[in-house]
Amino acid sequence: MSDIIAFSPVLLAAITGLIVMVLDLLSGKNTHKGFLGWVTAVGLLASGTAACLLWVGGREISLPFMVGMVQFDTYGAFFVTLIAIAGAASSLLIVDHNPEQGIHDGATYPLVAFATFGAMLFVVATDMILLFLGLEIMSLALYVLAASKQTSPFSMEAGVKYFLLGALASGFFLFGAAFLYGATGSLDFVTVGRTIQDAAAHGSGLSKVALVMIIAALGFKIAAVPFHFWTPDVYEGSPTPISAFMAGVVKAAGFAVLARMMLTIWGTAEFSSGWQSPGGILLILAVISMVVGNIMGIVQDNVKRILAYSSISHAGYILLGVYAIGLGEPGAVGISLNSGVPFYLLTYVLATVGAFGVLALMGGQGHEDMSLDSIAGLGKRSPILALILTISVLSLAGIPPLLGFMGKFVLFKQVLLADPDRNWVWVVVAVLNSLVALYYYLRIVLYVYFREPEGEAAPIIKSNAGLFAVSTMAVLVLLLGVFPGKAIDASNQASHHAVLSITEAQAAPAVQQESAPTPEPKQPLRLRQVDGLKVDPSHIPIIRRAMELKLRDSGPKPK
Amino acid sequence: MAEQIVFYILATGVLLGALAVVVPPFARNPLHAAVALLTTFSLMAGLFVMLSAHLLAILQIVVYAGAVMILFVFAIMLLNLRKQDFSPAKITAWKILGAAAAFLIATRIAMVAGAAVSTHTAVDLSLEQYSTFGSVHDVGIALATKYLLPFEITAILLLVAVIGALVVTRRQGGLR
Amino acid sequence: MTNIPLSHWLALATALFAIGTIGVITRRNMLIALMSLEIMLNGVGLAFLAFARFRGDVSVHAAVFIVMAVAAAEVAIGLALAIAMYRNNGSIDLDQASRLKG
Repeated sequence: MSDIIAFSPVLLAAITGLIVMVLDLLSGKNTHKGFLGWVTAVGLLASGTAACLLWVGGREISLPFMVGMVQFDTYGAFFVTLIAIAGAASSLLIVDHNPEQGIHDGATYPLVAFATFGAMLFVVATDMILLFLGLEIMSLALYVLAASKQTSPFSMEAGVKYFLLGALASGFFLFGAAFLYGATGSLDFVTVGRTIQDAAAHGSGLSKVALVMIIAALGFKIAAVPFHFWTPDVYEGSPTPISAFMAGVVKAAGFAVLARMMLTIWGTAEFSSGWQSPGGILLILAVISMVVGNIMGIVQDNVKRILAYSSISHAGYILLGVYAIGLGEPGAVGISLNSGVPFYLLTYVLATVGAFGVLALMGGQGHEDMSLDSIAGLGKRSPILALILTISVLSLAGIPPLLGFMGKFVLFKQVLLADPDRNWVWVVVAVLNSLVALYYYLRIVLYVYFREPEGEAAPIIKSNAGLFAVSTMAVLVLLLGVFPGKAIDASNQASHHAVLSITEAQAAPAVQQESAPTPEPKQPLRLRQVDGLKVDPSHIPIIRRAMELKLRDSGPKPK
Repeated sequence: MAEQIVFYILATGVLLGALAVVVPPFARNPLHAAVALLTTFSLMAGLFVMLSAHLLAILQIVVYAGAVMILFVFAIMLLNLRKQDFSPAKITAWKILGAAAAFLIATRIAMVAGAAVSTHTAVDLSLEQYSTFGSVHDVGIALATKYLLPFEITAILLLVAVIGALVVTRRQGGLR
Repeated sequence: MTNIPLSHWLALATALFAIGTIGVITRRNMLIALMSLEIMLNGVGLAFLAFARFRGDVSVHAAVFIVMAVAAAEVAIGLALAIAMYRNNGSIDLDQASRLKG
């Protein structure tokens, strides 16, 4: 029974979907369906809250059919909450956006709830088949949502494109899972990981094929570069709240799973040795995602496309953080997730949902075109929306007082400290890329405040629900940007738990005990002033570790 | 020996059927493509039997060759497609590149995987095991124990698919 | 039993998967793309079952069972999209449906 309770946050999202579906039917044909958006949002937020209450610190699972299938820990709680927030924001954005766009279908709300459910399941699942089911529930609902504006050929095309490429990705994922099963004889992460690490030689060809296939499949979902072709088209063509959902929820879920898989399955000491290692592949994807995303972002004239390319380049930065997994700790079993990855995802999701949200509130009277021209002069027409858009976009750009800056700072610092001798190159590349990206982010701000609309300006939707959603995002971006301690602490706990729960599960008893990372002691959440540089106390152990690494490197090399 | 012959016949049939669906000259007529697909599905069931996956062989026929094929044929009839709808695709550099990459990667995978498993031999099943391997009984037990959770969640997936199909195909106009 | 080496089964599965992938990438017709998708998933199923037989592990048949259900659901959505697309454009030609710039 307690396991069912532990599962309840995820189930709550599905139950929300069911309730909303029934309410849609009961409410009759000619009512405004907006209240369903509120119900969905409340249900999803409840499931996020439940996850925080139930999972922080981790939960033992004893029901036989759930052992090895799911894992409830701080890591899961962090991402489920993030997903719930983004999903709730999207459903609130739909409330007034859809009727203005001529979509009167109440069934979009249950689909959003189910898509969020799928994403949550995707994050907590530790078995390939359950993972695949989560992926498919999320994707099937999104294919339909992307195509839900049936009067628009763009929306239809977005749906079809997303469907074909998404289905291709699912096929890749399954093929990878099949080969992983062939290599290890199991489908759950823990067993698979243990087998691969024990018998590196045995069936290594199979596991390599599986690695490439699964990275390709998840690469589609997170829109990393060779697999990004669909992203701008689909983000542009879909109804904007759905673009927000895809950019926020799908990416957060995809990265949560990617990082967890890399840790559990391929997290051996050879994680980042050479180009053909898992880390090497991730590094290549990271660098080309950043570069291509930013260069393509510069030449776009449509705000939705700019944000799409920005999301691609952000995928690059986060992949860099995932690449640093294997370098996290010196020593043989030095596998740890740096807290930069969850924290960066938090900053990215809040800002990107905020930005897409503002665009969603500019789609009045069926207006579809989101070119830079159509948002020109927003600063005069609606100062609040203009301010929110500016905050979100500048946070994505990483301008100092905002959350995005902290995200980049923490992530890049941790990547650098993971291996100072080699990683400085990639950090420099990433920082240069952020500078290039400034161009198109500032261009949006420029149009919003300093240009007069030449053609037709996008009509603004008066929407309490939508305004509530986007202003919450903006307030979070501002507040957490100024006081990031709590969020960083949460990310720290999440990432440490991602490691702990695995090492516990994989505990081939006592063998790797001493090298298992210990949770950092609780420290006060104040920022301390050290030599004029703000250092979060929770980072001190990382810095110390890096210094040890340096000491060790200057001494005689082990091996 | 007889087994090998059966395998190669079935494999050739499956591959030819699959190629006939994909390669343009054969796949002009949608119904021809559907029949080719049907061939692939049915022969695949034979291969499943050779792997002692009896239940799945039956399901392959029932679900794929039955339900999915009906869906396809139904869609073809419903859409009343003309021949020109199936004319060969515009050949673009991207498509050629994609196809070539897919081909190369597949060859590479087959080589890597082949090398990795060259020493694997099938587990010898006792006569008793052999009579139940892949039967409804065994697969049912797996579904109700180890894979109970995914099995239950499949229900939600199907629900989503039903709602989704309804939403996409329903004509919208004003408030419903 | 099973005198056919595992590598042959895998080669067949990979070939099917590749044919399906190439079909999805290159064909312009939505229906054919969907059929190719089914071929891909069949290849995956074959790989799963071959590994299951060679490992003597029947539990993974249940996984293939679930994958079959997913594949059917996917096709249902795909065909629904094809029908909606036909209603919109008067064709299910994927090349024509490229108003967005790729």
